[in-house]
Amino acid sequence: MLLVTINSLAQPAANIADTTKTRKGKFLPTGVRAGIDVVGPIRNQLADNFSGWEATVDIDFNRYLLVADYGYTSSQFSAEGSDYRNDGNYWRAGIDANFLTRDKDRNVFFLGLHYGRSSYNETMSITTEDPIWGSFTQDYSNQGLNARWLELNGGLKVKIWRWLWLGYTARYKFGLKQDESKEMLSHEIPGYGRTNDPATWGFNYYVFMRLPFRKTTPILGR
Amino acid sequence: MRFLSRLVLGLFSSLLAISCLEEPECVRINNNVAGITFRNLIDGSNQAVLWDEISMVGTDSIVSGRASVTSFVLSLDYFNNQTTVKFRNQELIDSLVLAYRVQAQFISEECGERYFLSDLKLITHTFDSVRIVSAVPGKDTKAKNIEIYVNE
Repeated sequence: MLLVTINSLAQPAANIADTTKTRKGKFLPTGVRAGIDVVGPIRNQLADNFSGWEATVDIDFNRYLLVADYGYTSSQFSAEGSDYRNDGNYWRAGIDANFLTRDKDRNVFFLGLHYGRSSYNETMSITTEDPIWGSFTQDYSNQGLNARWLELNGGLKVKIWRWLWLGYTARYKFGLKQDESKEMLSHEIPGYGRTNDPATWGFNYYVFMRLPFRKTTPILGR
Repeated sequence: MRFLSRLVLGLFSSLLAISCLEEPECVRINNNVAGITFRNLIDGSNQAVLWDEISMVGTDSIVSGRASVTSFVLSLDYFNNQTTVKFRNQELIDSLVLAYRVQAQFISEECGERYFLSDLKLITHTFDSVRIVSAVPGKDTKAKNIEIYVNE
């Protein structure tokens, strides 16, 4: 009688353990994907006043992707009587949700929220003429500035061949916080872009290599 | 996959369209205009005051010649963080010294740089009473920043 009772109690416990194991298994990563942005190198070639690069890496946990980006840009802008330059590093990190849950290759159509941070330097030289106040020449320099922001991201990552993937990310950047106590206000922030408006857009086109850890199956099964 | 291709194309076209939007025009990008109004010390109503000349120290430019003035706009010196205004008539010379913060910012290759003025403060004056109503100067003649109270 006691054995029967123990047996009957043990059965649901085993089921619970199996279920837990299955749930844990569902969230085990199937691979890591690393990529480089091709927009930066193209701009390097086309524009004399820009240099930059960006790398990205992501790892999947079921339908969620943990994503981290790191990059560097250097820009120069000139106008009549003024010259502005900046350079700096930036990183972003966040979570994307994959909506292609029944794809056997785990192609990704995603939306996500990321946090971005930039460390940069900037200089500006100005020669201004004013009809009332005359002429004015001034050099400005801001060193070691920091800025942070949020991004709503969307895009695609598609398997092309074996380990080779292509994809893009469209970024809506908002919530910029920057140091506004200096004599010169920032024109552009590496990784964020121009500061004229409260929000801005960005775009990256990536070439990825994906290293699988284990057999890839659809997120929600067939 | 056809759906994906269309999605890629559609989103890419939208982004291109957004990136081609025109830059704003470079009209009055500095906010160095302060609007000044004379008011009656007793009842606070607008008050016309006769001046022979209103001028700013550091420039030959005159704000106003002989005229009865109720309000006027002042072009603040954005190369410095202080502007002194002199009010002259036959009997006396009044003055008003304003201080503010000036920050420069590159705007675009078409517009160049702009100067952003803020934290407008009153350093000293010789009037009965002066009040700052807005600490951020404006870009045009609509600016309303300072009220000078006079007992006429």
